[in-house]
Amino acid sequence: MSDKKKINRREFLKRSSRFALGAAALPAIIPSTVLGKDGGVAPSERITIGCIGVGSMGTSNLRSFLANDTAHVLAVCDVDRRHYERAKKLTDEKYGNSDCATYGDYRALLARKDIDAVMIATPDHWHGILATEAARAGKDIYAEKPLAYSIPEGRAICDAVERYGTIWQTGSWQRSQRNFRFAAELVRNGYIGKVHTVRVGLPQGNNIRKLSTELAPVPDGFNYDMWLGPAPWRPYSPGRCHWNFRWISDYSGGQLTDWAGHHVDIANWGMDTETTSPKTIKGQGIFPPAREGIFDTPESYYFECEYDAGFTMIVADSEQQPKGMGAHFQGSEGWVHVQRGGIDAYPKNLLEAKFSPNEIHLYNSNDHVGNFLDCVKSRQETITPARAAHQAIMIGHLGTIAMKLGRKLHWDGNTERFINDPEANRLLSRPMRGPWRISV
Amino acid sequence: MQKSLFVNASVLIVLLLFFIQSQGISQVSEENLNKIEAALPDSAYATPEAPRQLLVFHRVEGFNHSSIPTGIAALQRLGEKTGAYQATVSDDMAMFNEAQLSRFDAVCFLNTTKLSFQEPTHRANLMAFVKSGKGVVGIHAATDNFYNWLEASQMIGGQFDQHPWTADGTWAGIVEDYGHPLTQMFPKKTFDINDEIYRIKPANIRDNCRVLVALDMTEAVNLDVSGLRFTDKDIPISWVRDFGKGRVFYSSLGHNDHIYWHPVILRHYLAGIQFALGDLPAATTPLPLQPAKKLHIVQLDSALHELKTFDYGNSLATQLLVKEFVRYAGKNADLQKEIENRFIDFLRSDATLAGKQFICEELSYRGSKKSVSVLADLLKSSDTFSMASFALERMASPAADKALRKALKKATGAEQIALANSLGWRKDSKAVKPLNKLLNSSDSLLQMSAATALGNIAHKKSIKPLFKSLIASVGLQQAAFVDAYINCVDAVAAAGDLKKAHGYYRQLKDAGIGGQAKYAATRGLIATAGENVSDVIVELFNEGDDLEKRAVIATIRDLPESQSIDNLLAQFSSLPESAQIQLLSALQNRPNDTAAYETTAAALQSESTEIRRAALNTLAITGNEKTVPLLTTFILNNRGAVKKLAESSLHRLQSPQVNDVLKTRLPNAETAEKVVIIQALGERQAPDISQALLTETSGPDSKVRTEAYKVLKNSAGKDDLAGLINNLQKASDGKRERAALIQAIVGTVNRLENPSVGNHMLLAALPQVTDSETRADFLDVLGRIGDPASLEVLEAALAESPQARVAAIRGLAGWPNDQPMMLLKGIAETDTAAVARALAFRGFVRLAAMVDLRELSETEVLFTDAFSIAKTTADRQRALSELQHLKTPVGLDLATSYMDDPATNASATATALTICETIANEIPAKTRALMDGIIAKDARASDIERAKAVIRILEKYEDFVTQWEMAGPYTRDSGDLFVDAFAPETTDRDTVQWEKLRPENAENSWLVILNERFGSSRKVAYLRTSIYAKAAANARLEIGSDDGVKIWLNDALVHENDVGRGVTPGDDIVTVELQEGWNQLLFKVVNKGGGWGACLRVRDTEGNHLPGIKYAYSSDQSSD
Repeated sequence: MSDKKKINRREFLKRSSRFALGAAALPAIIPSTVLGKDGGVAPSERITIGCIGVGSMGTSNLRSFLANDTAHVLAVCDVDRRHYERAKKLTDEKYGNSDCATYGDYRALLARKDIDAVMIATPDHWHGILATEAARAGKDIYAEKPLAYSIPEGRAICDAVERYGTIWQTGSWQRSQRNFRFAAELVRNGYIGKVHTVRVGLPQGNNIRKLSTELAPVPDGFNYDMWLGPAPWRPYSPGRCHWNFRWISDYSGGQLTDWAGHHVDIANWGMDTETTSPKTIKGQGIFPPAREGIFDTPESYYFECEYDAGFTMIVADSEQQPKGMGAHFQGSEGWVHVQRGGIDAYPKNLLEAKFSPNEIHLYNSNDHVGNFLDCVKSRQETITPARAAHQAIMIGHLGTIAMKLGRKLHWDGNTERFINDPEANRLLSRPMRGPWRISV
Repeated sequence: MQKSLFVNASVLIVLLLFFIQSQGISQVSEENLNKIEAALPDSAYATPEAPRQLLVFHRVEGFNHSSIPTGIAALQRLGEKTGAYQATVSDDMAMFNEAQLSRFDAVCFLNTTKLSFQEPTHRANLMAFVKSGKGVVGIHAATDNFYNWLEASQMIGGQFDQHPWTADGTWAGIVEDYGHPLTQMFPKKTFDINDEIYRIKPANIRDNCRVLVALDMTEAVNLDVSGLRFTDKDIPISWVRDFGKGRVFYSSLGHNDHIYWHPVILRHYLAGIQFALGDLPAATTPLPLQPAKKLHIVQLDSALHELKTFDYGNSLATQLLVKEFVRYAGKNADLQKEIENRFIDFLRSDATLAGKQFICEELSYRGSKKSVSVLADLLKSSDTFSMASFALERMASPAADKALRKALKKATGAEQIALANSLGWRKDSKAVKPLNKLLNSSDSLLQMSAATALGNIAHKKSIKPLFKSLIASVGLQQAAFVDAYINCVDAVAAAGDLKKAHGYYRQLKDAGIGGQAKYAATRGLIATAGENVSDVIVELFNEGDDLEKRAVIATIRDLPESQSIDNLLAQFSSLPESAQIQLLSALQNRPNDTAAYETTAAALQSESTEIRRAALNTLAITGNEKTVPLLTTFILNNRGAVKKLAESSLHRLQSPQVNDVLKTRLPNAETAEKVVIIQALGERQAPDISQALLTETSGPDSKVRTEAYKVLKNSAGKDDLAGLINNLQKASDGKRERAALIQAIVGTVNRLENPSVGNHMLLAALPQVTDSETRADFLDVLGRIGDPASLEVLEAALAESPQARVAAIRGLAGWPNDQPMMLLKGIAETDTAAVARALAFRGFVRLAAMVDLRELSETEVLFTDAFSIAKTTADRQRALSELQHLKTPVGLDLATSYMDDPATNASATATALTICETIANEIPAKTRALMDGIIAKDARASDIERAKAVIRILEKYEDFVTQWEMAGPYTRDSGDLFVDAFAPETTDRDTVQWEKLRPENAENSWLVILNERFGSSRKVAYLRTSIYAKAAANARLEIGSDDGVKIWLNDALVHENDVGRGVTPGDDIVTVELQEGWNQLLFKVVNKGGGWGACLRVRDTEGNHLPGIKYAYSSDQSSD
């Protein structure tokens, strides 16, 4: 299987990525409302939104869009009727009408010309198809992490977003939190010296919701075949779909790929590796014992990624990280550890650091959905563009493949292929079940 | 004098050591000492090069191994008898002071646990010790330390991660490195040992350490344990490693006492210690584990046999086995071949579809040409089509292309699309022809799918047919054709034919298609424009609509700077606002482009705020020293957010000459500009500016002087101090200026290497100050610096005049520590002048609030006193505000007692909330009542929000049973502890002794921890409690247990779960009926090893607080 031609095409268009993301070149984007334009937003100026996937995360995002006056949600879409009915109710209650349209098929939503932007919060295996099709339909996109189910699908999203001028925000909302930004700025500005190791701690185990994994008839109102989409066919059981899809490798990569979009993303932000890949990956995982039935994503994992820049990123479940969850940067002169509970550093007084104006100040956003809407208007890049999300989830996918094969892998970040390892390369993408397909 | 002190200290330590040593041995019975004696070797393995000193360190900060005294005795005697070393025994961290540590040749961590090494010098000393070439020995729990100190845990080799091989078991060991000097005492390669064996994480020991002894994981006895993990393939027991120039030896043996009189292990220790001491040379190169050697194809056969009947929803255990086998086979070609043959046979067998699907997925990434034909056969049946096409898509062989193409001819519907897809991913150029044909299909889904596949192949022969299709279609379908078309055109460009590609893009742009096609075409046109790019850009920009303009700008961002865009910039001002903004932002990537810079500078004059804002952002990046006057003027002429942004741009300018330009401009600038410049110098942390600033402090304008002081506060040095003090001696009217000057002096003095020097300069100047206001400022400065030498000066000033007294009190009140606290208290109590009294009180409570300086109980007394001497509402408000630093129940009581008075309610409430936010879980009931009160009282909205947040914190651990009584532990040698009934659940229960459990601390009160008390072995404990319901109700029990659990409510079994896990609240949830009044609950907790504990709370059926619920110790309740 020769893919030389394809890579050349990519190389040809890849020039834009030579600019590093988020360094001094990106100042805070000040929303127009702050700068004297009148506070309220005329309905005609609102950004119209369609939501695709309104389960738990999608509903939470929907609420954020409903709470922002710059946005107006026009439609919701889900393969489960209960989901879109619940979402419609929420939306209609907020706007005091019954206008919210509902769809079971995303293509009907994408075909609407009056929708400016879509929110995508489906299981991972759908991200690639939905995002590329939405981009070429001219929609701006707020999409959940992880970016995509596989590295080539993530690359396809990055290319589509660039080709069609899409404003893209990934749901890696930690970037819009002060502590995470501050930690990354400490590292970027050399406050802990030269960083030799970054430890990324993610949750352990599969957080399985107790639903039956026995085979059962598909419930009324749930389009199971579409839910499966490009994934291999398996018979339905309630424990397979909502929420629990995360612990089944047909649809996702478990806690590792779920959380790579958070703490690995922050590690990349701090290390300035948002457009750089590791050169080697090796590690091992613990897969669930027999009792777990259909759930097969690793319960425990530990892998090391070496970078040309001379540091190692160690990604593991929190039990195998001395500092537990979060991103832990270890430098020649100290360390910084940041997680959702807070930030810690050694020496301690780093936490008091004030950066002078001509030091590196990273992109400053304090409202993730708000940042997206501002950028849709200003056409500027968001705080978490697709290419940053691609690098974050790439680490998760590389680790998964390394664990599956149980050997050290060598990676070429330019071609996004393994070096001299056909077996590993064959695992990069997952064939799609017809009639689903993706343009890559 | 210093020397004699040192001697005294050492004598003391030696005495202390003697005490500890003798105490250690005294705990070991005569009998055991004799056993040790009998087991000791006669001689050492190597003759020491010099008398060796070994520190046997046995400090315990976690679990205490009862075998430690035995270990101490054995290690002492081992050294004495063989002459290998002399042991010094201690558990005092002071041993890691440099002077102490340097006496030793090696440190042995003997069953130390959870050592934190909080003192950074101790850490540094130990690391320097090892790396300089000395030794470390770790026995058993030595890997259960350094949890926040990675380097040390790496040094020892890893970290404890459970011990499925418990102390009561006998395990199969293997000497992996047979023939190594440290394993020469083992009579044969395998051995049995009764001890507790650790699993070590991270599991990459073999990268750094040479493993000598390990558990033999091919032996059934080691596999039949609770808590075994699938990855437990490699459990090292003893290893050595290099660390810097030093040497480390570790053995996880040493939990049980008898290990210390085990003749072989004692010798193993001795060799290890001598290795660490540097006397016994031994290889340390890591050796890999070679599990593939242990694989036999028969194992795969039996797994595959089982897999034949696998169906969806069954356990994945067999699949895991197969995957594991494949993984360990790795690149062993012979084994791989055998595996593939078996997989092919499997696919031809009568195995279930689910089983075949799994095998197809495995074959997909590892199968060779050999597998193609069986997969091609499977394509023929609709049952097996998907799994086969899945595997074929990933196959490397061209035979797979052929099979897929062949199938494409006959297939229909979703199968045809899947085949097109696979051929597309495989970039099979031979598929272009048939796929091109499918573009004409009557089925629009098939058309789109063929297009996508053709785009993925990206062959130039598809360009024409795709273009034909795209102009004939609309909407999403058209978008799919456009996308495929662009893929193919991009490939033409990538192959080097830019001209042709440009023509194809032109064709797309001119096709009159709307939407994103225009954006993409514009982008493609510029990317393929070659030499003409500048003209193309202008042309596209001028002719394009908004979307196309946007595309042009996006490409400018990526264009090399050498490529001129002057033509476009020439018409900048005539562009629409949004385009100007985007273009300005794109110019950030052109820092050396003169025209771009001039365009940006000119944009500062725009009428649009948004455009000015964009220009400022760009200037911050592309600007240099020449930008300074431009920005300065802009700052002076603007206000609000834009002005702030301009200031930030000025502060961010990168050129190294910016600071010089600012400094040069300063002397001759107008007043307003001076302020801007001084501010910029300060924000930029420019070096060497204090002289220039000091000059400005004698200028005519107070604003300039004030600004200069603000910057001097952070930049002035010792040489500037005289000038600043001189300024302080001069009277001045400006209150803000004065405050800034005072802060500048305090800041400067505190930054000096020796602040007393600066303080002395102030004291020396003080006698000349006669003006009372100036004198007051001096006292203020002295107080804030807080040098001990100033105290008497301030005290003396108290007696001078009423004015001076007030000034002195002010000074004392600003003291940086609590030295003058009681003095202030005295004044606050007794002074007759209200102003003096109030000031003193303020100072007193401010210093009292420095809670870190003393025990919390002392601060509690101070605040109680403060409230008793407070005379006015203002006093009380001040004290309440400072009270928020005292986060204790007493502090909370003090705060709440002022909540009823309307005058103090606001500050008391705020303080109570702050305290509760920290200590809520310590006193949940009280906190809850208080928060409910605040919410009910219609308090300020922000207070109510805070109160609700506290309740949320509280509810996380609310309603957990804390009144437990315990019986047990029980155990039985054989049988199933989960099933077996012990006294509390039988008719014997009246004879059971129940013990009340008191929570150790508030934080953990919700959790019963049993392993710390009773160890980790297989045992059972029973817990009981009484639950009161004010009315009969359905309720739910939220249960956490480590491990198995059975629960009886009012003698009826309501829940059982035979699991192995850690305690997580709400792991099991059971709905039960509570009867009115008291209910009796019995909780059986079965430990299968490792952690052991339980928690329980009772909630309503929705998981909310159940009103009226309360708990009591059953024995208290029954005697009610």
